[in-house]
Amino acid sequence: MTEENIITFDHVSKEFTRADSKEKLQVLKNINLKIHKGSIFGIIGYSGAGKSTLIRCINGIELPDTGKVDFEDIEINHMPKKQLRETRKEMGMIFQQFNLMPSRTVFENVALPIKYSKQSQQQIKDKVLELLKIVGLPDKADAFPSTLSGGQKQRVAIARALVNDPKVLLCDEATSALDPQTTEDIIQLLRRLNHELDITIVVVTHEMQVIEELCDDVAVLDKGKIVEQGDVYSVFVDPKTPLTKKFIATTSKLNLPDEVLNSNLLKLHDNDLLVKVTYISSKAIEPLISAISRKFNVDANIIVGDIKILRGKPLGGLVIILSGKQSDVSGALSYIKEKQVRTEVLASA
Amino acid sequence: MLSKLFPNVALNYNIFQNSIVQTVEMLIITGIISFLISLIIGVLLVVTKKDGIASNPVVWNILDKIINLFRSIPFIILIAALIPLTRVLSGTAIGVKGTIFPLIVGIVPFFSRQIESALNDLDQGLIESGQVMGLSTFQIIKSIYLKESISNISRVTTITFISLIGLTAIVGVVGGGGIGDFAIQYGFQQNEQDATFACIIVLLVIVTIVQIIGTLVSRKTTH
Ligand SMILES: Nc1ncnc2c1ncn2[C@@H]1O[C@H](COP(=O)(O)OP(=O)(O)OP(=O)(O)O)[C@@H](O)[C@H]1O
Ligand SMILES: [Mg+2]
Repeated sequence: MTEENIITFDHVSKEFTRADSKEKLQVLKNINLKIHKGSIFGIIGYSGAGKSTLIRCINGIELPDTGKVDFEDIEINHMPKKQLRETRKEMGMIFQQFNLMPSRTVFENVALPIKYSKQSQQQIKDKVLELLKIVGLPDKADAFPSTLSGGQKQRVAIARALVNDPKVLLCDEATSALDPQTTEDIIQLLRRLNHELDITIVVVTHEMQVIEELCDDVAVLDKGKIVEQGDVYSVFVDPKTPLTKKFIATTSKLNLPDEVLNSNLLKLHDNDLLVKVTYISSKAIEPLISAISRKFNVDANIIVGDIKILRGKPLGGLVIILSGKQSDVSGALSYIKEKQVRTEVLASA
Repeated sequence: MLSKLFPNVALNYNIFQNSIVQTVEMLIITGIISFLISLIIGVLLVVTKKDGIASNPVVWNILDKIINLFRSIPFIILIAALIPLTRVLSGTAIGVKGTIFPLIVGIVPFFSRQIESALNDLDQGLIESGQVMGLSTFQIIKSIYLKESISNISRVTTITFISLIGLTAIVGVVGGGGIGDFAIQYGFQQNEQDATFACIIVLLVIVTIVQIIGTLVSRKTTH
């Protein structure tokens, strides 16, 4: 991946006037973003955060009130109409609701963006069939969208978005209408396209799982403001804002609900401590556990473990109960705290 | 059979037959012309509206106001008001020729609104996907608005044609000929009940045929 930026947002703000109340609604507030060429960039936020508005500023479907959006160093928001249309052909887009044309076959849907181009019928045919093969639907050319499953519809939409050989693929909640397995399949497909076609992908989602499994970089959008951004591993390992933590919690099993913490289920006695140990770097946690049991003569009882590999680095951690003599337990705790992990005492006896 | 059930119709069989031909003529000619005009106006209303793909409040407002104005005039008054203009345009204000212009003016406002609502019914997401593909306004109109609305358009066209059949009957009253004229002359003025019933049956048959065609087109284009 090069460090060249393909899309940049420079102090972008936008407001809508509500039709009913004439009230002004600030939907994007001073957005600054840099999207690396060839990367997969994720934007996460709750419903109404302004995600769709933001992603639509990239292809000029929405225009910012202030600030500018650049695509390959050319400003999108003051382009003449014709140039904007041509530029849009360099960016494909897919949607939550697929937006396939119901009266057209799969083939005709995929061919629609190049229907008015100068390509010959044969060229169009070759291109469409090639793309259907790439997205895994080589035998569905003559089917109508209504006969396809959600996952298949999204594949057709992806093929359609790629037919102009775009440099960027914009995905607005592309997996939000799909079941978990199909979501997984589409994520795999998008990763493959990113690798094989070297296409930059921008995804907007409210599912942290999508960010975790798909993206290189992430920006967290809260009520029109970017509250946190960075590469996915750093953000997951060390989230700064409560919103980011909340999103990450949805993908982690390490968060014991309060009912568990306040109940007697864990049976903490005497000097026991309930401790959460999480990765903040790629240093391993497991040797740490055996080290403290040897060095301090404490028992480290693993209650929950959730460790996964994200972009080749470990993520997650363990919730353990440390038990032993008071001095040993506190010694073990301060030993862990010195290591490259984050420690949090959740409860004590 | 005919002379038994419809003695007065049998007596004037040639006139009756001729009035059916006239009604069908009026329907076909005004139908085609008003369909084309309404399609253009309907498309203009949809693309020039606020948030439309070629938003233009001035054009939209003018069309909107004119349509509302014409729709508020009862058809029978409209025919009378249009007589001078009809004479200029068709050379006559009576007979089939004289009915075409008032029929078009009478049906186009209604028809345009019907087309407008058929096009507005289209999923906005489809239009948006046309925009993100980089299609031009004209390409979006042709390949998405019209193409994807064929079934809706044929539905509203059926409704409109049935209204139009009503208007052709009214226009007969002012000497336009057709089934309406026949029903008034024989059924109403000469109090020949059977003539009125024969006209009703003919109109029912025409309505049914229009409806069957409409349903067929609509079904053929829905996947
Ligand atoms: N054309 C518009 N006119 C007025 N308000 C709008 C318009 N488009 C969006 N909004 C408002 O702007 C806010 C942000 O909308 P946006 O669609 O960008 O949110 P989102 O994060 O994509 O939400 P979702 O997850 O529901 O898709 C919402 O409160 C929405 O009601
Ligand atoms: Mg949205």
